[in-house]
Amino acid sequence: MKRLKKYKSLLCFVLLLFIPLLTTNYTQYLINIAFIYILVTLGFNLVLGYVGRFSFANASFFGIGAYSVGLLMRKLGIPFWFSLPLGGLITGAVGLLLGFPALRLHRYYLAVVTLAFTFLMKFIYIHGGGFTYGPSGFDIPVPTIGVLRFSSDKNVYYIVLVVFFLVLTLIANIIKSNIGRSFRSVNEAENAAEALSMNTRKTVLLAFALSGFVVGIAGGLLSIVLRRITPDSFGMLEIVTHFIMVVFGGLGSITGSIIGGSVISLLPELLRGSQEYQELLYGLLIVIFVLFAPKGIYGFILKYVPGVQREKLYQDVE
Amino acid sequence: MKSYTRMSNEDNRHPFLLVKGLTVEFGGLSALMNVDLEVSEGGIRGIIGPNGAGKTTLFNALTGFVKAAAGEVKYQGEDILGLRPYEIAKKGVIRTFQGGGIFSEMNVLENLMTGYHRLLESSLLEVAFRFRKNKSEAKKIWGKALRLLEALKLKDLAESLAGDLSFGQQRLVELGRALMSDPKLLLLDEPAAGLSSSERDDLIQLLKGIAGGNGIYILLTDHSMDFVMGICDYITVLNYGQVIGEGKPEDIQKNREVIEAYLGHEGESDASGR
Amino acid sequence: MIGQILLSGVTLGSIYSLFGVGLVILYRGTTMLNFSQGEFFMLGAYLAFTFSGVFRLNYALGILFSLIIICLLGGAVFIVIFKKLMEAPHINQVLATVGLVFFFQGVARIVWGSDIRFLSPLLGHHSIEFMGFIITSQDICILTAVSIFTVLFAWIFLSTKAGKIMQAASQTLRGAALAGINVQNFHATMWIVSTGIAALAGILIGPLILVMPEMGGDIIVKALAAITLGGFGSIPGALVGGVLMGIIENMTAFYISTSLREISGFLVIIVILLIKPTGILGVRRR
Repeated sequence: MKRLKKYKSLLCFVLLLFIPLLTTNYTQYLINIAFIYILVTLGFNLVLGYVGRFSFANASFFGIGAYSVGLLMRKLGIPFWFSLPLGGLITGAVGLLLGFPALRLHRYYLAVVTLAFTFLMKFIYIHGGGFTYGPSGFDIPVPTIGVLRFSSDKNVYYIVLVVFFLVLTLIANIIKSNIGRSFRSVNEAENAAEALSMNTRKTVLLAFALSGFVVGIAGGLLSIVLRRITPDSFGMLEIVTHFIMVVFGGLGSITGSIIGGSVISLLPELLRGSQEYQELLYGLLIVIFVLFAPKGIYGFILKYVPGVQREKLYQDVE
Repeated sequence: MKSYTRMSNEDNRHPFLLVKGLTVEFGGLSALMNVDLEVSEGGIRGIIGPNGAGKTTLFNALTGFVKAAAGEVKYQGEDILGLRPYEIAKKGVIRTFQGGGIFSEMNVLENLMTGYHRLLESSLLEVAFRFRKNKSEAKKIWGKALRLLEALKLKDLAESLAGDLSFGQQRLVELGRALMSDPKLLLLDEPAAGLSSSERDDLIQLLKGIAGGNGIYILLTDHSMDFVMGICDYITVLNYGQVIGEGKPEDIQKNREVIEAYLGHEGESDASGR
Repeated sequence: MIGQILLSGVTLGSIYSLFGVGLVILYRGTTMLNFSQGEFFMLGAYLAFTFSGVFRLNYALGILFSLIIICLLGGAVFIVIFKKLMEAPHINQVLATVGLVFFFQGVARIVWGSDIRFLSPLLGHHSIEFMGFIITSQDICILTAVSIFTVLFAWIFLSTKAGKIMQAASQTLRGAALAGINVQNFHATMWIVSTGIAALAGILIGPLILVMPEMGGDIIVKALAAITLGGFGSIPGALVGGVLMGIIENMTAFYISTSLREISGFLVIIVILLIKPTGILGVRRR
């Protein structure tokens, strides 16, 4: 039984390989989106949940990742398997840059500055002229590996799945290590952390850079999945959605990110049909949620479901 | 108890810790004035004084949390005044906090593990990809943490949230966390505060065990004379930010100035600085 | 020409000041940054439009009803939601205000539709010419109203008992509670007052701008920029920052490009927070 636990994620991966056999194209598309948003939530959690900085910049990371990967593929013809990590690195660099104000500014100032930054990026997309293709966005070429073309939702799924597992594993390793512990330490008791030789500055910057990287990759996947990118996707609604995902799922946990990212990304589907009332219901849902399940679904489960263990910041040692 | 590195101050040219003329000012008030301190022998060194005498300020200045207006601090011959706290800690100077600086949202085991930070060797990529080096280091950290918990008799609480523990247990966790880093100089700020008398006795035994022949210099503060007398080999007395006496416990007890300082503060409202 | 731009900038800016003061009052009194304040601003304008345009009510009466309803709404929002969140972590409080943004925008869209409405000026479409400038009656309304408000507010804040309570509470909430001040009632009052101010701002500027469900989002950003410019959390800062913001916005739109009008707020925020986070007037405390 213990041996099985060790290969749990491998098993999951193998099982998930068969999903496209069971889905319609549209359902497959939804699943792709869900995986993307799990990564988005995970990346956001690094900054919001683990090091506890009030950054509204996550949606900008998403957009920068989507735009950089999309533009690299469209304008420079760089194949996706190179554009994607490159886009991730570019976004990671932006994340690193935003880490600096995070060190200096108080909670609300940071929130306001990152909010401003995100809107500024959207403005740049809209008014970027030939460089960013303006308000109507642009199409992204079909991702290819040699002669393999990933043109359908089901094909693209495999790209998404592989990238998802790779990133998730890497980030989980990082979180469940001294690095993850230093994130939480610096958040909880900065002085005590410094007294243990933790460099707060480096820690926060690392969290921001990693966050940028992860969410940037997610954005790149979005480009590949949607095959079309428009500036509208990266505005206020997106900012709020990311927040909801993190808080709904559970701040500061990997499981929470998985729950929040997948459930909330599918919410528009569930709210479909009541187009007019969508905005209103969304808002209502948020408020109800904040009032009654403030620690997120994960917190709720921990509290009320017996036997569920809190997620640890270390890996099980054989 | 796991045996630590031998006395780090094999080189007898430098005192292990040398503080000269340390002065700290807060907005015109002198919290510390011209403090001299020398630690060159092992054992447990006590810093005592009434409330507001500057004990915590001294620790803060030694560990980089507070800026000094004047003076010098040489640790193993090296100037450490002006360095950032994490840089000083990296050199093996580990301190605990008065209010208890444990990470309450983490469990006890995780708290201990954070203490290993100073000794870490794995890089980011090694961690992310879980190369063998990182895996074995993780194992090492795990093992050391559990051994320490066992020695501190906290093993059963390993997975309990640190915030749920009693104050005395939290102080023990903080101590264990500090020990995880193989400290060379341990600065304990009021380690006995808030402990029951049996917990205090346990702490005394524990600290004696750590200091005795293990190569760790311990500096501790407390404003309870009894505790300090029972554990320290040498004592420095502060009052109003200045050193007013130094010596073995028996000598200090007889020192008139010291007695007056304590008597003078009884029933008086706490004066901070001048 | 520059004079005219300055004038309209000051008029616009005084609305930002007014709204900003409302934001700061709530922030200082309850440590909460209310992102939904813009929605009360929006609803105020819509209600005034409804009362005067649809019900053909006397304008003054319509405004009064508007204000009363919004104040009641603000109080209700506090009782139903924020009273329960008083001890909650900040992120939850912020999220709740954001939820309200969506909620109220959705409601407005359903009740009034997404089309732009036009609010007629309070005193009719008059304007006078003075020293080469054209000043409309609405401009005068706005400037007068905001000036009166500022004076009134300064008097209340500095001289009356209520004001003293506000000062105390904004220094330390715990201390205020210990001093016997009913914190809950105080918070409720802050909500009522700040939402009322927001609605007033909306009613005053309604005739000058487009009344649509999204106007809440726009003013929040400009007001945030304004209070950041003047010094986050300070009331004089909000006043000064608001006027400055209005001027900056108009100047940018005229001299550089009109498309920059939208993001002038963001640029100001970024520049200020990177250079002098405490704002122009500086703040003695966060």
